[in-house]
Amino acid sequence: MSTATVEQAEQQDIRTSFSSDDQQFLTFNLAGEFYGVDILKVQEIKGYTNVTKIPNTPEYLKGVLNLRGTIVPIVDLRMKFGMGVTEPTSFTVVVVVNVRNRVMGFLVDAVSDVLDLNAKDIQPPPEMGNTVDITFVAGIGNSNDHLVTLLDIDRVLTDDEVKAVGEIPAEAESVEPGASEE
Amino acid sequence: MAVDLSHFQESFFTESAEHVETIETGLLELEQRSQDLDLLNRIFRAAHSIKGNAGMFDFTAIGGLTHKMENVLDLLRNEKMPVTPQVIDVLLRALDGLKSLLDAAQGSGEVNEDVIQGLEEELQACQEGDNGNEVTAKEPVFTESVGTQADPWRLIKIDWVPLPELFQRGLDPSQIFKELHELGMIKGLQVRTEQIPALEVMDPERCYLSWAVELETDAQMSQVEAVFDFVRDGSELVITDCAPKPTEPYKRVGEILIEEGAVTPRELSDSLAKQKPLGQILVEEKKVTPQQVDKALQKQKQLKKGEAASIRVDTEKIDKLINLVGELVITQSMITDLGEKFTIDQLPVLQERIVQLERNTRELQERVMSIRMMPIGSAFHRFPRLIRDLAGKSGKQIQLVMSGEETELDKTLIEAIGDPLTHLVRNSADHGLEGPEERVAAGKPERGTVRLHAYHDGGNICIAVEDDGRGLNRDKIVAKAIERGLIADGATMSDEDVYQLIFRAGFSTADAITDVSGRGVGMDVVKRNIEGLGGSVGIRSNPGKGSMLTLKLPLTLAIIDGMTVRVGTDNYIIPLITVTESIRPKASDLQRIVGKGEVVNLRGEWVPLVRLYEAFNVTPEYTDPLEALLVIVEVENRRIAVLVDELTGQQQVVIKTLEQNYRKVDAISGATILGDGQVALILDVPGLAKLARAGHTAAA
Repeated sequence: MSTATVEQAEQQDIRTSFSSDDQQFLTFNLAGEFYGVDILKVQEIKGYTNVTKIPNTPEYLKGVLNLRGTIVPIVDLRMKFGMGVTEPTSFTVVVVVNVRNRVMGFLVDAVSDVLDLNAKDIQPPPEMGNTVDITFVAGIGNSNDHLVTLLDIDRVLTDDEVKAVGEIPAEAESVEPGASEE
Repeated sequence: MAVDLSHFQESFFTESAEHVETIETGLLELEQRSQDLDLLNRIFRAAHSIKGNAGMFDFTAIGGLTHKMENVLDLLRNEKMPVTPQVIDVLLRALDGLKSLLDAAQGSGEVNEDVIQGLEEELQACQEGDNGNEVTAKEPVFTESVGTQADPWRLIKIDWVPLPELFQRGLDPSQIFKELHELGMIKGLQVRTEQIPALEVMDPERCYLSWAVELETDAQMSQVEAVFDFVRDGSELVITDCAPKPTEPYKRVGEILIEEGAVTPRELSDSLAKQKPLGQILVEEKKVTPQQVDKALQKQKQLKKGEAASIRVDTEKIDKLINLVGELVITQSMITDLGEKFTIDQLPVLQERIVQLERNTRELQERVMSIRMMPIGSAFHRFPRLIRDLAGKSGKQIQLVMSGEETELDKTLIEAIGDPLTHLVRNSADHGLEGPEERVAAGKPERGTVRLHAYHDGGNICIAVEDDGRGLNRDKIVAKAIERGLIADGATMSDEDVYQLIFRAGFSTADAITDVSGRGVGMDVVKRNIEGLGGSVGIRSNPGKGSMLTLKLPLTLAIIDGMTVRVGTDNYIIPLITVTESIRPKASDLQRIVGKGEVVNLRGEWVPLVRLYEAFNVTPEYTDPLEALLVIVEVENRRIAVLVDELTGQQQVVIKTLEQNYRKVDAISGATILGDGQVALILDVPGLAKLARAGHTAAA
């Protein structure tokens, strides 16, 4: 990401805080589907290296990485969403995000683009019934001709682990009922 | 103009603690070098600073006591009074009183007012020279050398009921008020006339009046008191030094009751003396055990410690850091510059700059670590006093030799080892050293020596507490251990193993239980505390010649010695301190209990076996204990055997927390980064034992 983008992003932030007009999303690919996260939550993008597995943790937690001296847990997003294990390729990267002052990495198949979206172009998440858990979906956007699922990054990690911090609103309890059983 | 002083109070306490330390060490040195005027001046200045600051924060009691100490010190330094052990004694005890007052002001512990009162009286007596010494200084103290000090402006309340025969003695009360006026400003004057009888019975030559004066002054108490010198006899005179009105008047019930005249101070203190600490009451009612209370108190203490953590750093250290950061920035920009137009022939330049970067980083790391480092001397300073008191109590002659005080270690460690170290020093002086007669009979010098020595040993710091006393009695320890059922009769043990027995709970072989030590609590606590810090306690003894206990601690809590083990493709770190040995068992040594729980025979002791790959659910290279390796770890006196593929090495590791970005994981105490940048997990041995137990029950 060039310096210009960062500045833009910052300006964006100022603008969004007043009018919530335009928003930028980092989009990435997961098993052929497109997802986006608020770019302001992204700290950096890092190539995938071997992680150290932590025993007795949910399967989607790949392990931990050394990020310049900080131990960062890595979540396999595919597995988290029930799309099978990510097989590392040369495109596989870790999107390092900052969630409530915690640094975490998401393992994704590939990053694709930075997407500018106007608030009016973002649709609310569709009603999917009980079959699909979409509590962590912030909305649906369009890029060119394909659909981008915008993730509410704070919610993605709202499972038993982050609950331990005690900062999660009560309604978040229902977000990932499956997670606690993993 | 309510100024929030609480912020500054913190630094007052820190500073006062330093001053108290200065005074204490100073006094002890003074005993040896009574003529050292510089030393006296230093002590005096420290006392004076406490007094001055106390006044600023309304700690009248602290100010009052220090003031009295200061008076005595002033006499000493003006050579109006000789330095005698008695004077030092009184001053030291006053200092203890001062410490308790300071503690109380910080909200920990109660102060026995009577004791403080007593101390003040003793100091007063000392000052007036009637403590048995032929002291030349009978003159009032206000002849103090000019310019040394002026007390802060404050209110002094004087309540004076003169002798009825005042007039008959030719004394004029108005003269007193004139003199008071010269000292400061009389803010309030109340004349009490209740005592004046009816005119027909009144004796015009008697004085029926009494006065309450509020004087605002910066004069010393002694000066104010001196005003009343001639009228003091037979008068009732109460002079109270009160600091300016507290911004937030808080009074205890007792104080209010006294003010309202409901009780006398004496009655109140009698009643207060009956009060018991909550813990004691609970123990008496058998609701809790003394151990539980102790534990809770310990915890409370720790919590308190956790509150205020500040560190004083030499400006020099900070300046060096800033310089280093400057250099780092320069190196970095040099590398950036090189990177922008890099060609392969510049490789040597790049390598050179990377080396420079390495050097900068390493130096920076060392300097940053050194900020947390403090000389261990600050943990040692309390011992001269301790030894002096012990010697006095036990009638032994003890010499304390300290060395390596400048050895630096982590500040938190210094605080944490204070109590264990005190315990060891006490033990050495109290049990280790014999009485003078016994020593002479054994052909040793009459005066025993306790030696404290701190030194670096690799990445560790060692503190040795050594005495030239009787040494540990092996037979007695063995006998006691058998009696307590700690070991089997007839067991053969190495000396080291026998000595380690004294660290078991409830173990004391002291013949006489003194109030100092010998109750059998302590050594186990010492060991536990030191191990909790990642250290170990070693013990050596030479019967008749003395014994030596060595505390070995990591330089900082953030770095531990670890043993790296491999299971399948994963590396784990086991804290070296917990590892006792590693073995490859024989088939006959392995047994199953009720078909599930595995145990291994370790020289007659059955030790539970934990398969790390099972506990952690990973794929190992070996599942057969006969091919794999068993690491025997010991924690809290319990051993477990951990099955791993192989030992890969031993190294110092920097502990990183998992909780910062993730959460606590069972049986893992943290992580570290290995030389190749990979993360390795550090095993939490007690947690592992627990996990293994839970696993077994779950499987059953």
